[in-house]
Amino acid sequence: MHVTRAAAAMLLPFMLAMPVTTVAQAADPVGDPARGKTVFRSVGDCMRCHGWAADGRSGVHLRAPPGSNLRETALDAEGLAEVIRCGLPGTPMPYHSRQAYDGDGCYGMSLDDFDADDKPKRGKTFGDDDIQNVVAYLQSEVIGLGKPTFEECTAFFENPAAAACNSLR
Amino acid sequence: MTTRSRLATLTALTAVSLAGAGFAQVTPERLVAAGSEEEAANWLMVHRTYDSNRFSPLNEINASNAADLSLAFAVPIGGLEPSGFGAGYMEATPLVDNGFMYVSDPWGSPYKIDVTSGTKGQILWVCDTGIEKDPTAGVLLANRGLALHGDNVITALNDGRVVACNNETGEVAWDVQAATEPGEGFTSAPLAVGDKILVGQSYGDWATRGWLAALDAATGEEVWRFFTVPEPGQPGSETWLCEESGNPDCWKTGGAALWVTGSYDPETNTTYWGTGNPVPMFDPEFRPGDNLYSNSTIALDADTGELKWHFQYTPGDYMDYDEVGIQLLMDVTVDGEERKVLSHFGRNGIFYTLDRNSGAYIQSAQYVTELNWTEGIDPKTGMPVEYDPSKSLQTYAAGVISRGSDPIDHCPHITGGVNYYPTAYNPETGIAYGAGQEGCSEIATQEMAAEDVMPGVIFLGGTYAGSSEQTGSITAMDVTTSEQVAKQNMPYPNHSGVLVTPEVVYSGSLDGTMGAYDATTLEPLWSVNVGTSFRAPPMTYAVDGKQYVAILGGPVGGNANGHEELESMQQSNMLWVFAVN
Repeated sequence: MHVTRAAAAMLLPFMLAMPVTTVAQAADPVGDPARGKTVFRSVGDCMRCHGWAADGRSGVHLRAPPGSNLRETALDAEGLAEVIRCGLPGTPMPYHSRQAYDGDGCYGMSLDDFDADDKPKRGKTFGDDDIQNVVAYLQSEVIGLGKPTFEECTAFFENPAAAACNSLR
Repeated sequence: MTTRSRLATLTALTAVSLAGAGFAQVTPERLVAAGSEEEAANWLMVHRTYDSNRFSPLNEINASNAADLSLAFAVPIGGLEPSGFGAGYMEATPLVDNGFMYVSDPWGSPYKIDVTSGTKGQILWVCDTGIEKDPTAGVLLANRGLALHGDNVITALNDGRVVACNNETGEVAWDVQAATEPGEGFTSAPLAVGDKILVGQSYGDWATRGWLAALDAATGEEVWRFFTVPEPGQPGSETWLCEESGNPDCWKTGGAALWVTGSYDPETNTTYWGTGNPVPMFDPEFRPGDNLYSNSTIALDADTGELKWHFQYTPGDYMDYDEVGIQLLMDVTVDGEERKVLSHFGRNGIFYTLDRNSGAYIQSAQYVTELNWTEGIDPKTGMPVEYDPSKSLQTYAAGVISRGSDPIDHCPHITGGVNYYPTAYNPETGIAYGAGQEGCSEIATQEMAAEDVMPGVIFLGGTYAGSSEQTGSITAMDVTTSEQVAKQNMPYPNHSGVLVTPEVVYSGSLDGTMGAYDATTLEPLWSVNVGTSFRAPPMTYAVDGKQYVAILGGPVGGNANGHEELESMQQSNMLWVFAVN
């Protein structure tokens, strides 16, 4: 399947709704939220686009495309894991699994199926355990939250004087 | 001799051998005469001279021997600690006075380096400004240099402080919190004028309001301040239709920051600064109107901060066409008439020449290869031909972005053209040089409710992406005619800017290549790749009659512009010094 940018955009809702059939399930599906926060903050470079608050705004890098607001995401655990693992082709969301697109584990496609300009981007990669840990972090500490607060911010950075939180004082 | 007294003696001797080799007071008179023959070996302020020409008369290295340039020495510089946005940028111009060099790292910390040997750079001191290197801070770290004044080396910091360090000892002489509002701070070099230090609030893509302040050089106390976004009721406030947007406070986060050091004309005591884009850059409906004094050159009385005139290049902008870049001051003959002019390579791709005493438009010409945002410049007014002063929202030729509209492609790219990358002018030939980016970008609006805007936080109001291959160029323009006389295209965007000497133009590249070019043809004369990305401009100086060329290198950061081979470059902050041996 050769996918152009426009086609990828059209595929997106379909992809998000697809059942996850080939996830490497060896890892414990119940992740560790604390480790997930560490991966979100220090391993996966997630903050660059989603911001510390995962709202696509707070702390997003000036040079980054703003990521989606994960506080309001409708994705379930499987959907979150798939998007983290495989990225979202046709968008700036990169894939984070070292094995992404090696087999048919990502939307049944390989990187060769995409136009050069629309190939999914490679992000910082980590193992399946940590993908589940990030999902656990998002589900237990992020999804459903409202606007970020100062207390939330200082707790995230584990620093009551974190400069990133000044605007929320 | 007791141990204690021996220690005291040793300490004193060491201090003398390292720091006591001397420095000359940098008086206001020396700064006015920075372009004189007496100061030919030196580089006393960020743009070398008050006219910002970045021209050095040193010609030991010339078109006939530049090919023999080689590394004289290199010095690692610190400040690699990241902010929330990663490692900072090395964008400073080294200053040199009598064999002593002054550089700053991305956190603005000043370094004094003894370069008298010509074979080694010996760091004498690093001034401890007390900057908190908070890894969570949402600031784009960069520092564009220092100012010398009297006994002090002055730096303006991203935390909003201005700090004077004693030139002899490196100890802090004074330290003032000049910027106090959320998100305010400094990245540009201070400008010392008379008994004042001028500093521009630099964080313009954040929800802040721009201003230029003059501080007392002896104490740091503020003398005057000019806000580049007027408050309601002040002249210019009629260009911020905040009520119309349903957001009466839109001027408070209007941007128009000053993040590149301005120029100064001692004859008229006027200082000229370029201002940044209106904020949010991609959502004009948030801040309808022309948005004075964004994207402008402003001319201010250096004693009082009173506005003498302004010229706005792209009113009601939505393409991020800041015009903070260098304001070149020159005396030239235009149409047979002697004119005192100000020329500026616009980030919008157009090279403008104004009368610097009145602000009147004289002429302009396109200097980037691709430009589609306007059909042209009105030869009488200097305004884009699409500009309609009766409208609160402008529509330029590449199309308009608005809430709910499709993205547009526009050229040049939001980065420019020439951005903060310093330009130069050779007064002997009348040729101005600008280095920058060639390409286009795609932009779109993303609406944000007024109640969601957080003061001091990044506020773009939309998204952008490169929409074509991004390359670079150096362009030479005849200021008298505004004709392009030479152009050198380059594989990577040029974020370094240029230095010009009588026969040679120097510039660095994002891929770590430092190069020398023939000043007439811009044909390459020499280059070497040292592996650190160049986002800082080269400068030149002499010690004992021998000429050197220096430049700071550092991380490429988020500026690979689609060139994957740049993304694997690692971070290292370095001073490189070249010479012909």
